[in-house]
Amino acid sequence: MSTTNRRKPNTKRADEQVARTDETGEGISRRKFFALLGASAAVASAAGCADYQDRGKIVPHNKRPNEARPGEIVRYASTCKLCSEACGLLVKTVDGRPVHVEGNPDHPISGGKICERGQAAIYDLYDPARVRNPKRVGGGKYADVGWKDVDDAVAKAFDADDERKIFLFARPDASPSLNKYIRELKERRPNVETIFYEQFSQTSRTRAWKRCYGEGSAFPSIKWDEAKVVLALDSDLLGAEIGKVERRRLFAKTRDVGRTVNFSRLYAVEGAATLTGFFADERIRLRPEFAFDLALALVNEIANVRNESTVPLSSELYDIAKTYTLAKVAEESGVDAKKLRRVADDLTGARGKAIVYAGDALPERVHVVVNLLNAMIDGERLYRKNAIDAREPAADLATLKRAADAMRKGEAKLAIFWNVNPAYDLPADLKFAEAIEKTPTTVALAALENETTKRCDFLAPIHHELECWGDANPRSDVYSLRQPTIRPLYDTRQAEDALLSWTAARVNGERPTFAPNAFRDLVKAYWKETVHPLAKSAPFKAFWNAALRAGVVRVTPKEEAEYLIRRENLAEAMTPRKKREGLTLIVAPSYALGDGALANNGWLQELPHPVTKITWDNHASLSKATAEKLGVATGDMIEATIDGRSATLPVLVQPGLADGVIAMETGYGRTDCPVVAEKVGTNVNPLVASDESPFVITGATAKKVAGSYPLAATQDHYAFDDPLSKDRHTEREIIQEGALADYKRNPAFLHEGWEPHMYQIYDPHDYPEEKWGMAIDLNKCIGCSTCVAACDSENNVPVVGKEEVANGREMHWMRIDRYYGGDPDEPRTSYQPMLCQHCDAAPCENVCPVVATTHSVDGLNQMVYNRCVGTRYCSNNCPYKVRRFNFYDYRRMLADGYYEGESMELKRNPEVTVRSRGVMEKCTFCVQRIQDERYRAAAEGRALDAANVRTACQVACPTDAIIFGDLNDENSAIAETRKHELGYAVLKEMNTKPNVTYVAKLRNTHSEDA
Amino acid sequence: MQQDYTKEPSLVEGRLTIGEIEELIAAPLDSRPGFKYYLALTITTSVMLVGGVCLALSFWFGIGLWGNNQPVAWGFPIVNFVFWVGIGHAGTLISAILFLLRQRWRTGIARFAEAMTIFAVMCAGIFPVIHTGRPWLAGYLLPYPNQHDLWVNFTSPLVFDVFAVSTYFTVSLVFWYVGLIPDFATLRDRVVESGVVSKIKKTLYKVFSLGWRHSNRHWQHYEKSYMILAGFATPLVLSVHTIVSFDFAVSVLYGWHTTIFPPYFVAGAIFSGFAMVVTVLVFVRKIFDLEQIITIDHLEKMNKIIIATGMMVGYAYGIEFFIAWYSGNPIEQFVFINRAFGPYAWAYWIMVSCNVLVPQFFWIRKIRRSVPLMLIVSLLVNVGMWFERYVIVVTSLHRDFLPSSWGHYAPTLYDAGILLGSFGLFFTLVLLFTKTMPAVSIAEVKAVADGAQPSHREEAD
Repeated sequence: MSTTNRRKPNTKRADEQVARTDETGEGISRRKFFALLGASAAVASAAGCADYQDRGKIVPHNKRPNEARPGEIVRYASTCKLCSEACGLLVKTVDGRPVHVEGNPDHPISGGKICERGQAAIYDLYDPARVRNPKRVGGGKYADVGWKDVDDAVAKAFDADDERKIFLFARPDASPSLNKYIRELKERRPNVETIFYEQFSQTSRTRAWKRCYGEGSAFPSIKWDEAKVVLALDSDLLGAEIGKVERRRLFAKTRDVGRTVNFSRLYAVEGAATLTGFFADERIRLRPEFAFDLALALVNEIANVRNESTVPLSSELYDIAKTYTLAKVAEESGVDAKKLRRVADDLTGARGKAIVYAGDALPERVHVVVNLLNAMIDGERLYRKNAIDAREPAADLATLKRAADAMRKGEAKLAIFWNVNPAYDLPADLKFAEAIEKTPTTVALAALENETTKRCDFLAPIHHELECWGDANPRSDVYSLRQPTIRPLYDTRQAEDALLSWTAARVNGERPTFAPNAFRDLVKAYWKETVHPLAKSAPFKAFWNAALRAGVVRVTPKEEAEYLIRRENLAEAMTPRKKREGLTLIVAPSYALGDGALANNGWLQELPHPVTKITWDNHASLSKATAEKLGVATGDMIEATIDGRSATLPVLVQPGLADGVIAMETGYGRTDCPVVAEKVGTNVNPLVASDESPFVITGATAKKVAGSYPLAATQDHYAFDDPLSKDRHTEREIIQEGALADYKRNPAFLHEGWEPHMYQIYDPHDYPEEKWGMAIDLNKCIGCSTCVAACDSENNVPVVGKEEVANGREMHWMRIDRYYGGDPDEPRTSYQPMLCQHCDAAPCENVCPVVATTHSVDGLNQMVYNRCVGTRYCSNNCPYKVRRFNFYDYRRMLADGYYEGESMELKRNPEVTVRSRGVMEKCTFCVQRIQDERYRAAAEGRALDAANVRTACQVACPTDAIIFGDLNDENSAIAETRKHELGYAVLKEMNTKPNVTYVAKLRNTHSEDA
Repeated sequence: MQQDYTKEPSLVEGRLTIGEIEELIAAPLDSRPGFKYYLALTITTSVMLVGGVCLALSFWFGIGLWGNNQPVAWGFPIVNFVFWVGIGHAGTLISAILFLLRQRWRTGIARFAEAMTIFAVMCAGIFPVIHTGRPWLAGYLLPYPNQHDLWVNFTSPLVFDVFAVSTYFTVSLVFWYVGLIPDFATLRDRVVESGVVSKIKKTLYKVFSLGWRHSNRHWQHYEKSYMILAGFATPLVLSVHTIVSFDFAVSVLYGWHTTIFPPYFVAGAIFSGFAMVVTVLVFVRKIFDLEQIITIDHLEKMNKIIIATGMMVGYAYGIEFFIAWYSGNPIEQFVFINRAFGPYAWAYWIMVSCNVLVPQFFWIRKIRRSVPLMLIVSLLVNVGMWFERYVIVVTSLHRDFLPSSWGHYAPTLYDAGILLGSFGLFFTLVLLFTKTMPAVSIAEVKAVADGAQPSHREEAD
């Protein structure tokens, strides 16, 4: 578990191409070495893999390179490429194959954390459906071709002597080298237009910012850890929105029970029911079209009614704002005006420590008002001055519309789609599918088949990010590098290399040959030229190697940003839109799949939605009142229609939604895709139009249609408002929580009252050395499920598929329990990660007839897989129901053995047994990591250091809610937490003596509620 | 009219002579099986085959074919196991306990009931083995010395089960066989050698009769050993279902963790066992013309036991609710409220109506003595007792401690197929039994027939 290789100072020679710690100086590169190892050997035998770029002879080493020990874990620093947040990664490799991904703790943005998608994206490297060699596409059929055919076709179009356009569509990329190259290319070839777009991007935020603070400015990073009052305005800021990893991490710092003075109060105003909303201390249900009204009403309340604004309003702004009052918004939207007034109280009360954050999906005008609002309450003090967004802004829908029109009119000769799927995810009115077909040459650079590749002429397969070189500059103070951690598995190219070779300047009319490492050289040149001077460090070679090893370089921007809002520009942006009568549709990215690009990842498909706990589907969420009005119930089908566009999807009646809202997630309903994603959910993109506010759609209608549809949830197989089952979680003290004010008044409030007197028949166990324990701080747990994804990856947890989830047989060792309490319309929602509690007096242990589940001397409840007969008595006797049974051989369960393939074998963590059919399994407290430290300590002749053992979930937890360690060590963090007044064990009266305890959640509710 | 209530009615009706009794009982064994017999056998074996196919598919693909899940990790197989073990209770109770209590009326039904015990325990024994995830490793449950130093866990009720059920089966089998020896000898002597078939028949009966010659000395030994075996089997009748109830009672799960379980299970087992015996005997006495030997009085006595044990079971149902309330434990209270009013309320009320309400009809003598009505009641009791186990297993598990892990259980066709198959196996064995061994003990019935034990009082009558 060490990161020594990464951290070890560069001692002797450094290879030109890769950072190595090869102290013996053998001249064999790491990449070559990988070719020798099982990974490549296994895949090399697969068809289509013989075409390596580097056809070296494979001979065994007679001397082992220093960094490669069979079975030893080696970690490489890299950068995540899933979104433009560009988090730092530490890729854990064993025997030359990446098996797990963790966050790079040195990375200033992500700080050792990544999101649930990043955690699971490693499976895509080994996805059996990855396209393994170039294809020619015709009539929806794919035929194998060579790279030369693709190169020739592109070159023919590229070199054709006319000024017709060449479009490159790509995802917003934080790579400074690439962006520079694209700018230069544009100068060299003005007819090349590059469009970076993403279905869900931050374009309205960026545009609003530029309007408020000037064209050259970019929105800053926010000091969430210093905020006292946060108003999330239709923003899933801890959930699905870009930048979540940093926000989760920083925000959690305001939830430290050790320093309750720092507790922030989170207000969430939202129409849908998001993770952020349910984590908030105060949640206000408001239809999203009222976000603009509410923001302006707050402006009016603070500036005009209370006269507490730091920034005086111009008369123009005053005139606009005065028509909006909190009372009017409350009346129109049906919200309690008192609640809205409290928001204003707190925002002004915590001046300088309060901030309003508007959701990415809200239109520019809302962001403009919010920027003004923040200026008025001194929220600008929470803006960081030396850490501002450095990414190229993503293209807006107008740009895309222009491009689509041009293509449809035949003005383009070549279009390249790099890892984008416009045929699926762009609004239908852009008619992108037609645009692709009208363009003479179209090439898709993609790893998997999708709706766009099917319509192109060529499918050029690309590397997975773990096979790639690259860099990122997401923020003005951070540069990071991406390096490959495995040789390319298939005959694919890094997309940047392909682009570079296609667009390279022609020498004497000849196009240069393809260079597999062209982009690496470009990155290196950029770093030499731009980043190295900023870093003011050692010679470039040493700097480069150190940067590769660390993965990230921090720089100090030359100038600090100033935040002076330009009030004169704002009024024109504040034109209200007429609210149309009818229902409001909210289309959000899928929590796990994003815009659908990750839809073929079974682990993400099966990751329970943090709020609904539904897997493998999207649905229309309705509040109870809305459902009653439309006469539908959960499982019925509903057809939502807006301006003649419609989508039919199953209903989920969900507590906490604003009335009159239908919330749905996109990313599902893929058609031309590999088998995992196929026929999963419904495509709701047809409802989206290229409008000012494409994802908040007013004036929709909905009606019940025939049919019913089963939704597979991992929880809630009962009605949340059934009097028989309602609020049982609080009655049983599974969830214990209180208000911050109560705690301040009486820190021991939780444990007052009756305490059960308990007996134990068996003698208690002895724990002479370590006794492992875990504490989970529910103040910090936001329910994001990153730990679930991390656990899946670390522990070879299989995907079972929708049907098996519906049967109640999901295999997750770690689950996040979500409880709704109280009023179904305004539910008090609680999250609780639940895993094997490793009880000291474990009920599972004494009922196993064959002693297949035992107790270890260090306090673990162990499973002996090869002894297990599968009577399942242990599961019945587990009060926490955390045990999981292999009812089938789940490796071959999904889609006729989809995940049984050779490539998936490479993904499995070799430290963890792959369980066979008929055995019970459950959380092991990552025993492999404990044992690793034990062996390491023994080899190094030292005592075991419990701090070196960190479980996969603990490392992954973005808010550090999970604390793990040795309970026998009085000074450890875990022992400290165990003693905390808010600590409690679930089902204490069962006397199972769990080694997992929880820290009760304190809600910083408004004092009037307390 | 003056009636002497101290006088027991004749156990064998129609003043049959000893020779006639023998003829009557041995009749099915003397004739070749007819078309109806083959038809019946075809039906039962086909049903058994359905179960076999379902089982084979479950072995091949995994027990995921069943409805079991998390949290309901035990489903049909365990329900069926407890059901069949329960059915297997009447036989040994009739033959051993009633023997010790000098209940002479047991002779007419003991043999058949014992045979049903053996077959029911065979059916029951299948389920614990097949319900595991890896049935091919079932041997791990036996404590055999091995070089891995692996041992079984004697704190686990499942290990108790292995011993309890296997001991019960062995003792019941031996007891049954010992009782059969004199009859085998009688049958041996009855065979007229006239061909290959009769020769085989004679040889087999010869072997199984162990050289019995009806000598006085034989009878002396026989009676003693029979008495000892009866004494030996008696505690087992009580222990086996007590231990089966431990499978539940030893756990921490509310709805299972109840001290009332052992007596409640034993009463329930006798209840269901007698109901099954009545169900089957009603047909047997008709088909094999044994109405004079298995008389309506026999059936009535069994019906009285059914009503008695049915009320014990009803009492247990009530006490469970009382204790749940009295414990003050909200989770336990919830389990019982959920049992009666939750998603499985239908199963609970089937159970209560069939097991508690329906037997009350037996207070009425006419119903007690009416063959069609008692058949309906006993069938409903069988249904009710199966549902009792279903209710205990499923409702306790499906909503246990953490509401987050609550789930739902629905059996699949495979579950149903295997249950059906177990009935197929049971009735196949019953059919084979009726054609190969005397369904009623010839020797014992002869001993209780009118005039078999001449006495002064009886002559004076």
